[in-house]
Amino acid sequence: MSTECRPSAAPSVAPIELPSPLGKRRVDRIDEPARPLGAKRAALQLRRQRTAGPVVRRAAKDRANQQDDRTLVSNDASVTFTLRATTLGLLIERAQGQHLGARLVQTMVFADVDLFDRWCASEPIRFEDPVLYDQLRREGHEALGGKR
Amino acid sequence: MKHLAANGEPHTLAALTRSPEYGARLIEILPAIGDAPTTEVAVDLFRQATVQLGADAGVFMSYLRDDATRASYRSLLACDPLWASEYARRGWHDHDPWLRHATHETEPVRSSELQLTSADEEAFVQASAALGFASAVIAPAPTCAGLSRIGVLCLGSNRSGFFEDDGYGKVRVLARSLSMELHRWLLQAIRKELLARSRLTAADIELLRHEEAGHTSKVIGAALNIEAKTVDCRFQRISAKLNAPDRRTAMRIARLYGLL
Repeated sequence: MSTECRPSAAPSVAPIELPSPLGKRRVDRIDEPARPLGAKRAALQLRRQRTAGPVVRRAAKDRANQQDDRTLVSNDASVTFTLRATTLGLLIERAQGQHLGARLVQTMVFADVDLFDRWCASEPIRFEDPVLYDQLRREGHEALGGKR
Repeated sequence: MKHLAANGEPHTLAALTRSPEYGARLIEILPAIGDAPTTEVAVDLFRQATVQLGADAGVFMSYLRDDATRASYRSLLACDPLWASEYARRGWHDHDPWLRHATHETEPVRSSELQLTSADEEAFVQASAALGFASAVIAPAPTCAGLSRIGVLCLGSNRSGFFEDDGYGKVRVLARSLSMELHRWLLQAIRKELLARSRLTAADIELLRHEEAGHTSKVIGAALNIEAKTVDCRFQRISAKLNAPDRRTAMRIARLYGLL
């Protein structure tokens, strides 16, 4: 069984003498399902997520630029592709999902153009956002440099 | 490692695993996976490990439940990229029997032993069979976070029944090790990503440790020699950095991502 969620470094927080049992806050158990939010808190969280959306996307692009990555975002911001040319081939991270709900992130490396083209031909975004799809293919071919 | 016999026919799994070299190279690859410096190196090592095990395809998937409203499915792929497209297009994460197995069991199984519970799961298995998973081994990577963080490795073969022979015993053990190492690497990667994105400081982490210990603002304030209101204020900033609705959730996220 993994123990990785508790790293080896000892916590710096020393045990504190609590004045009374009332001085103890409730702690969510990590191995139990996440605590559901109340209606008001959930609505507030949704509003925060929406307003934070453009900022988060900009930050992702900035980070990508720092690492020589290329980030392509669909019109509705639901799909993001991060491309990186490496010595092992073209690394693509495809992220799909909105601010709330499930987010699917797939990471793969393409060693040659043929495999990349095969993937592109089945990529759902080709109908949903043809402009982005063209850009993805162009950038991918450029990164792979016609390697077959 | 050659996967073809002298007559040009592909080896059976039993024949492959009888070779004294079987697993030797994999033992060298495994420690390197957990410490892979970059994503592309991790994916490449994963691909090499898949080949060493005699499989044609490999997928490692991790599920992480951030809070009540957000969950993420991350995968490393060493398989036909069409499988990835189909997975995304059909929203298979909701009907993935491999992931479902990992939520309830810690033991590896073969796909033939999985009990499918819906038509969607059957469709998933059929489509996957055509894309490199005609025969498959599913190896969960359990964690102390229970259902909140799960990993699962699936190794596939184009040949139906490939993993059904006597060689499975060795594959089961090695697949489990590979699954745990891949999960280790992925956790490190998402931890780094969260730290870079949130810009949490060492002081923030220390405050979250107090929250983990169940300390109230008054107790934390007394320990750090600051006002309780200042503690609340700092927790508000931490929650915003982690995109969490409250400090309890912020602490939960920090624990799930291995920050504490």
